[in-house]
Amino acid sequence: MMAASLFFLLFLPGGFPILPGRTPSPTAGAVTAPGRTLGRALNVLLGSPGKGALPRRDLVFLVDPTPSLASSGFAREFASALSRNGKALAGTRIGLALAAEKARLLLPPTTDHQSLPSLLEKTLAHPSDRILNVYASIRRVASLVPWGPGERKLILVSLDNGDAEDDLEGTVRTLKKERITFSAVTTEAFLADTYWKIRSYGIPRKVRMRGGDSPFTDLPWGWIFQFNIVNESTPSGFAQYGLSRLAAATGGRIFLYSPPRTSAHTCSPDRGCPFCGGDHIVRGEAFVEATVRYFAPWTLSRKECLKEAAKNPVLKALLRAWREAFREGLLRSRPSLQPSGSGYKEARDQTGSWRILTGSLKFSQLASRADRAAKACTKILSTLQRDLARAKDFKGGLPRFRAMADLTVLLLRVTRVNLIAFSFWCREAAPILAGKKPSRTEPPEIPWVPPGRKPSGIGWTDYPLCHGIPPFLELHLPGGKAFKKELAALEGPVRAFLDKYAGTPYAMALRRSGIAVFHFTYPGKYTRIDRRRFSSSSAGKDATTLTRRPPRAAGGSGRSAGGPVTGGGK
Amino acid sequence: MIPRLFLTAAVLLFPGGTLFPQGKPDPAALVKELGNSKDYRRCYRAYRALLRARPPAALHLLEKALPSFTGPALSYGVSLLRAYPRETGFPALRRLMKTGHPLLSFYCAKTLFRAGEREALPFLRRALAAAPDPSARFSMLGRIQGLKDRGIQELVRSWIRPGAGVPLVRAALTYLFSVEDIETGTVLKKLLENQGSPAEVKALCAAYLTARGNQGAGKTLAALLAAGKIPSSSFYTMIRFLKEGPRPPKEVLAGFLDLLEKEKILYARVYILELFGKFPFRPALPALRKLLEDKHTQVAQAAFDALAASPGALGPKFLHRLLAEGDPEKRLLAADTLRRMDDPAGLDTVLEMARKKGPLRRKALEILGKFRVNRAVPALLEALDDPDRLARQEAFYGLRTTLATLFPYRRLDLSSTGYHPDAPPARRRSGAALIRAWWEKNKNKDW
Repeated sequence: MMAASLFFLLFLPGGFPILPGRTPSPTAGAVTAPGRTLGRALNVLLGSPGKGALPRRDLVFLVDPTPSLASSGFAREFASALSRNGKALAGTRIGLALAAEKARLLLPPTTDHQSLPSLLEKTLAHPSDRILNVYASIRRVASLVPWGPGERKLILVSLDNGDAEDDLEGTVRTLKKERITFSAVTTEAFLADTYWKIRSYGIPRKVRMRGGDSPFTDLPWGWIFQFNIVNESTPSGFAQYGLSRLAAATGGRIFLYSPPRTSAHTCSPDRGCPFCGGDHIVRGEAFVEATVRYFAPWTLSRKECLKEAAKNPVLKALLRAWREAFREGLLRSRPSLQPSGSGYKEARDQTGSWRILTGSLKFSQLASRADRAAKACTKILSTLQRDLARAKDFKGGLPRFRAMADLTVLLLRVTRVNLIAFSFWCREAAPILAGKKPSRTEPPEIPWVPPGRKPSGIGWTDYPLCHGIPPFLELHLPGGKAFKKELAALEGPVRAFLDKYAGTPYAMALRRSGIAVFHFTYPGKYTRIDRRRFSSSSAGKDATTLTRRPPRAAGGSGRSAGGPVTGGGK
Repeated sequence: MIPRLFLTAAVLLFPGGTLFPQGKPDPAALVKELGNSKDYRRCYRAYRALLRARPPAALHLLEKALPSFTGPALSYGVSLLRAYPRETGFPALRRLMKTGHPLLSFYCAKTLFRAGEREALPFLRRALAAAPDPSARFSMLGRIQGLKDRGIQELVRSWIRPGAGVPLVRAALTYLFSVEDIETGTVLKKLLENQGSPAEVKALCAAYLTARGNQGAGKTLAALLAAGKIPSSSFYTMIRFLKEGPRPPKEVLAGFLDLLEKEKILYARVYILELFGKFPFRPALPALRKLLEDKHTQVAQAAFDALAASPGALGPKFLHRLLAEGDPEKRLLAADTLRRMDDPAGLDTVLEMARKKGPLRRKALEILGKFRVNRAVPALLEALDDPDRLARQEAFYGLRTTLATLFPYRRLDLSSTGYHPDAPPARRRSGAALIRAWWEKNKNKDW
């Protein structure tokens, strides 16, 4: 009994060890508070950590008024939190500032808290969804506020920004110089987010779009035959790296908010699931806070992270596999780090292109290319597995890199299976479906290519791995038994991975990857559209739509199994 | 013999038979039937016939007749115009939008706006503002869910005031919730404070505010639930709001638990159970387990789903036991829940019940269609001939889904065989034979 208890105390679900005395490098796990509600965050920020009144302190809320914040009920929660914590706030001065291109102080810190809720409501009544460099706002407000002699806390409330960075370390220095503790109420970032690597609209001047929970992208992305980039759709359990960095450097906290709707389970982030009608009950999807914390990213400065990263053989193996996979055209991203002296530096040019497998309808040629790519994939996979086995005894470093490497092993396996699927499709099905070989359809079957259309290319969609491999074994797929054998060989590793990383973003990332199913693409159809006449209108009418950041799919990570709500999404 | 022949002829001819001499639709007659607001079925049949055929001659007849239509005929008429090619249907819609007839103008403006014509928005606003009575407003609100516009939102907010009827308040709140209107809170707080507001209105307001994170409103809602004065007709809307928001305070969940134990109306209990499915609530577990034995399948199913959402409450062990030992209905539920957990252990049970005649066959066929496995296909094919129309329906839709999933490289249209669950028996038999023949030929093929 004692031994069993000790086992559970020392090992998290999944068998990950917690070794007392071995303090890992500073990570986001240490600064991210549990919970996902605004009420809880405000209670902690405004309330008292213990009995009795707090020492004198100044709290300034720097509000970034975006539509999602406006509709989140923040103003109401703020008013409720103020009245709930009245006693603890005696002697606390609270101020309000507006995050904007030219940030300003709306209300200097004051002990008269009555005016705050209405001022906050007024501020949120005119939201804007432009991309904002909040770090510039933080620096400006930090020096504008007439701080008192007591504790100084600056709390950023931003649900949409934090990925546009200009001078992160400069912001750290400013906060430290003014002796300010920085905290933030924000939403989860995506796991090793790569959203901005292939998009460039609406970006303010003189910033670099980052995104992601980690100082650099540590998960290869853009795999061939994956429609969904898991880096862009898997919640990480942590905030944007920049915000976590500021909180860690100044002794602050990060409070995450998940709008309720975004935590519901979905097998695929952008389409329906072919294996269920959306009624999937997934066990082990809700994040387990303790396990997620174990895999937290660093909150050191980027410079220090790159120095530490160079010591890690697991990361080295991962980057090597990434480099080789890119060279073989298996993914369209270059490694995010490149060797520099005895360490690494961030690579600026991070995108490339896939091996050309879908640019023509010469199916036998495409099949041969796919076969060669599959062989290359096998080679990269065995090299990676060998390197990871060699690094097995490496004790230091970030556990996150091991998880990323394990995930990459699975993604390589899935890519290999997809290449084989494509090869079989090109040889067996595509010529018949495209009409290059004769065939006859009988009811209820109808021609694959609609009458009057001629295919011009190849596309694909992914059937997600959310239900595991068994449903795929039921499907009638080109390659028959030979392909089913490949699928069956994937089942063990997929199951083992999902069991090991249950309750973490890594399991979710694998579930959202998929096995590809191919189809033809067609040239667009010409439709005549009459020219519409526009007239000017007076103020108050709808304005022209600005380019805006589209809503990011699949936000919340679900509630933790140990938190107030169990069971995760449905 | 003769009466039977006569009847057969009447059945073949009647729905549309008099309207389709020798298969050609008579547009004028169809448009006249469409306007028949007294006989909904004839109206609907005329709509379907016009939609299928879309005769060019009907276009100007529709445009001329629509201003005199009432009820569902108006909405059908506008849908028909939308179904015509853009270059012919849209000009008619634009003209009708400007007639000043509130409902007709509304339907046309809404259709055009949803098709991308922003110029229709002012007409939409005007039509809404000119809605002649609460029931017209109610009808309009149901059709603009999710349509965000400050002007419309402001107008709808103005309809929520003391004295407004419950159905209108309900519809207005549903719309404002769908567009995440941030100013509704202020209006609702006034209604809550108003002594004269009925309990049902207060409960709707409190549920809305609770779903928007207002803790105080949660307490008010809990108190209203405890007082037991809220008719179950509003449960659906209240629970719909709550399900979209953060976890409600435990007093609210406790209030609904209390109601669950007292409530007699079937659908109301199902809605409450759905709430517990979204927000697992430990104190509710004993009541949920008890409801697994409820005589109404919908209640037992909803209780099942609610338990399945609570970790550990309905584990695989319990489900396997129920699968082996429970009564047939529970075995089906257990099989379906296990399927949702990626455990196909219940497939044999479902197959057995899908092949057996009886009251559970329909349910078994419905669940069988969700498995999407090869073994399910023969039983679904068999049921295409079932004398029970609903069983045929379940089999048909299940087969459609299953075959589409199993054969990702085939395009299948089961209706192209002539089969439909409602088709005459001879056509069903020939259609089913074609589908079966196709399955036999392809079931062992690779792709």
